[in-house]
Amino acid sequence: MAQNEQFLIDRVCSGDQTAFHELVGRYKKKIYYLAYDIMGDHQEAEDISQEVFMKMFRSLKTFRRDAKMSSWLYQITVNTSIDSLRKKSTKPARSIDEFDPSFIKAELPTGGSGAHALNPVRSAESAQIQEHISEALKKVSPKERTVFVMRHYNDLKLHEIAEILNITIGTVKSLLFRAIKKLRKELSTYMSDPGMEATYE
Amino acid sequence: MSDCKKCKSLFLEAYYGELDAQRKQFFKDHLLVCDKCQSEFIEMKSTLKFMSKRVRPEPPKEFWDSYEERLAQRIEKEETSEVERGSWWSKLADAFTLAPKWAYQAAAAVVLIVVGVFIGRMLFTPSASEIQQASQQPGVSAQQQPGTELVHRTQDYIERSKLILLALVNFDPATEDPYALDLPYQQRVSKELVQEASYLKRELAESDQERLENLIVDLERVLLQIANLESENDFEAIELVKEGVNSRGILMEINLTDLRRSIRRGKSSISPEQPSPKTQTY
Repeated sequence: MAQNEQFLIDRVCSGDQTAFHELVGRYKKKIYYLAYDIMGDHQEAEDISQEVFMKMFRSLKTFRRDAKMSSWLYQITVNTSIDSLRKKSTKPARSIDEFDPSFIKAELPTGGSGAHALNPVRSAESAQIQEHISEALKKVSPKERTVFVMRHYNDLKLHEIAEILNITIGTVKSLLFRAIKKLRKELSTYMSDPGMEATYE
Repeated sequence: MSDCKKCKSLFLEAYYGELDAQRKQFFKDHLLVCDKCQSEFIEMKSTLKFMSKRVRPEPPKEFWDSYEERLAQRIEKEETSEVERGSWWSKLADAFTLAPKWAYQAAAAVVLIVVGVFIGRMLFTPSASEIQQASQQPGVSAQQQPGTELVHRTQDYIERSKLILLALVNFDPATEDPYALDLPYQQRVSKELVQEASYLKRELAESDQERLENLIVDLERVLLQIANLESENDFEAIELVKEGVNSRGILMEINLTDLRRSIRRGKSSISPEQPSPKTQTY
């Protein structure tokens, strides 16, 4: 753990409110986006991210100083999100990536060119693709989706995911393969398009 | 492990750039010679590339600017509710810890009594439908039905009075031995019935049994006359009593009362085989 992060934690433990805000500022986006990718809903993602920081605040004194802060926070995020999904399973599901009109669509780091907004036809196609991807993600189980979004959209390494979820790398890979297989099946229309095919470079 | 199996186990690391130099070389070399693995890898890669087209809605700048403030408000709110919850629990706990031991025992005893009474009522009190059902059954005793006890006593009173009246009405001094009437016995029973009549009249009046009450009033007068007879040989007085019974239609009324009761029970008390009151003998 970085020296200054350790110092920050000590300050939070001694009741320094500024240090707490600084710590939150460091992780708020990562936690929010991971929660958003798992839940697919902005409001739930905000609630979960705040809950994560509240849990962090309550148990910071018992936090092992040799552990990685980000892993600990991701772990809390995943557990809180999965719990929320369980409770939500009895309620009508909302669409993944259903978003507030005031929000702007941001390209993910691994995404395309971002020039679609200038062309109405491409823009409509893009909206349709977004909808299909959201639907496909909903068809994947919560655990498979969690592992998939952790690796694919949150750039966590396979061994990090294994550590956070307390499972083996083999299990992480297995969950990822299953998720990819299901996603491919759901998006088979696009997959059969030769233009979509890619070769190993 | 075969090369194909080993190669497939490296697909994810290969795509996400997590392979070290040695494994990366093995992977590349194998794909060049194995069409099947190459095809499968291309398939996986195309799916992942397509999934990369997903875009997340980015919250506006204000959302992030006020994030810490909203979080602080939520923490404060939850801490306040926890304190309130804590104080409520502590008040409750204080109430229990301050109470002396006898208070617990008394409270436990009261609770046990209440529970016992409740269970007893649940087990032994018939429901309204059961009471109604029981009242419709002809064989049910009068004691089980509220209000029927008075009717039962009245009927009993009428029956005993009827026997006295029949004995007197059927008595013919011209043909029968006056001592056969056993007037002292009739007078003693009549006195008892007159005394009983005063209570019965009041109860019948209270329960709006006007017809029966009138019958009891008539019987009381006749029984009073019988009770005041001086001797069995006072034929004139006996004839007056007979006339009083006949003029008031007391026996007729008694028979009608019996008839109504029988109809209510679903059977007639007057059958062709039974003798009429006039011919009944004591």
